[in-house]
Amino acid sequence: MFQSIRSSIHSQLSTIRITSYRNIGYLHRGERIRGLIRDESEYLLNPNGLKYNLESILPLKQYLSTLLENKSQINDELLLQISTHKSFAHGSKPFNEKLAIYGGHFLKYKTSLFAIQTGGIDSLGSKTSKDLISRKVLAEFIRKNELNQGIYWKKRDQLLTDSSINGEDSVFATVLEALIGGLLLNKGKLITEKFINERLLNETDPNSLINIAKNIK
Amino acid sequence: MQSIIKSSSSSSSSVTFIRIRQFSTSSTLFNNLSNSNKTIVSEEDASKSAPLVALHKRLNLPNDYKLGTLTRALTCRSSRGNLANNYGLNILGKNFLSYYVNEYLLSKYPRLPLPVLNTAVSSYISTESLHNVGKYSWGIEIDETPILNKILNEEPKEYSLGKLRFLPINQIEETGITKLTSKSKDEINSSSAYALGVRSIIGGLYISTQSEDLTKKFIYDHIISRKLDLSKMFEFEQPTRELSRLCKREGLTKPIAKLLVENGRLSDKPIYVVGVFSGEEKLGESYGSSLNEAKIRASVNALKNWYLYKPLNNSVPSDKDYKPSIIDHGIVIV
Repeated sequence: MFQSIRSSIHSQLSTIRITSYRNIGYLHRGERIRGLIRDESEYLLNPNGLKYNLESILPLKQYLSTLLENKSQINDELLLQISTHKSFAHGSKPFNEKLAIYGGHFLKYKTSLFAIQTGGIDSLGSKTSKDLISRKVLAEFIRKNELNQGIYWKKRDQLLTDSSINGEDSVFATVLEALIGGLLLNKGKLITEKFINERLLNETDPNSLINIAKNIK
Repeated sequence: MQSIIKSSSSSSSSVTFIRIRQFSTSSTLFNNLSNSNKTIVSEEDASKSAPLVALHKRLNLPNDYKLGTLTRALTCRSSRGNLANNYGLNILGKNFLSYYVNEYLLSKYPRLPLPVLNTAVSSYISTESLHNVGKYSWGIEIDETPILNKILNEEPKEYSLGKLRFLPINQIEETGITKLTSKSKDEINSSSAYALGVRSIIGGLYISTQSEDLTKKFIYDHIISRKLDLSKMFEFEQPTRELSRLCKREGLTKPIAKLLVENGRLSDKPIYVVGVFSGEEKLGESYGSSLNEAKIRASVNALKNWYLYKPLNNSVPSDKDYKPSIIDHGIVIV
């Protein structure tokens, strides 16, 4: 019985079809007026005043191009997602939350293997090994490597200037972790390990996590 | 051979320990802590413990996995004595577990919302789950015989090396005795101790074999192989609204609920079947005893279809033949 009703409804649905589309839209610029939808490009700005578009990821792209050498590059949309925090635009743009969780676990895992290689199993859980991947150190890595301009997020309070309180450290650290997560998901484990060994856990590089952690106290 | 017989026949003779420094090489970057002056049990003594050898065989651990390391994995930091403890092994095992379980879930269900992902991860590797693995699946025993009984039973000292050793929370209350000291911070309950043991055994596997692949396989065999139903972990507050936000974000036509089938509208037990459509595409379908209920259920069904999407290729980034699949844009914020 259900079958017959279903088929009759289906036939009715296919004969009567009301479609309504609004094709004309007005995006308002300038002073805010209630009821009018604002133009995104006007208010989607990061704390540095940079507009939300693909141009801002150029520094990150350049930073990665030497790492990936002649292999295919990561696509721009993913790089923009890596640089976008959940706080930006009320989460309506692709954001890096889960990439960061994933990358963070990988970083922790690789750092613990690095700690065992250099200091033995007993060095795990020591302050030195914890400091290596603290929020502050990860954020400083982003600043030292000049990747901090094109990061999209929203400051909790515009008047707070201390980066450890206003959320900047936390957001920057998330971006670095998301970069690791994005590399893993897009390029696999080998390239990500190369990135971690050459850029993050490289004692000869002054901008590596090891040397940053030594200087931050 | 003679020496083994000698020491086992005289149960009171003390266990011989040798000081091994294999885990702590000198380093400039990391300063060594707690375990540097602790002793690691020799293979000869460890091999006399029947529970230890049995556990090693039962878990099918490779020969590189020394019995001394297994003893260490079962010795929690709070246990008495001067044996090297599992503090570092536990941290290593935890890092291995959280990475591989997260990787597995994210590759299998790339669109899983974070709260569901966290619940799923903890149902694999929370203290309670690992306690179950250690106690009921691996059959690790706790060393709870009082020392006096051990002496009276003439139990060889090595015997307890194969059991889980920790300082338990003392819950025994006796009438007339008031406990004045507060709970020591080293006291842990047995489920935490089991979890420490399981994590440390995994950490010990990497230390012994230096092979990430073997450790990964061990985690897949013993932890990830457990069955888990993710579709029951979802809870939506405003499913219809969330679905319409999702369609907007993904550039799909606005979702519309359509009544597909109904029966007994005028009875006290009506039933409606509603489908949610975006343009021509059906996103989800479900039933309900009122139109509204059916619509909400259909939206939940549509959202679950979206969030529980499984890609066809099932490789994870740490596989050698990994092929990238989709990268999720994040959950929908209503």
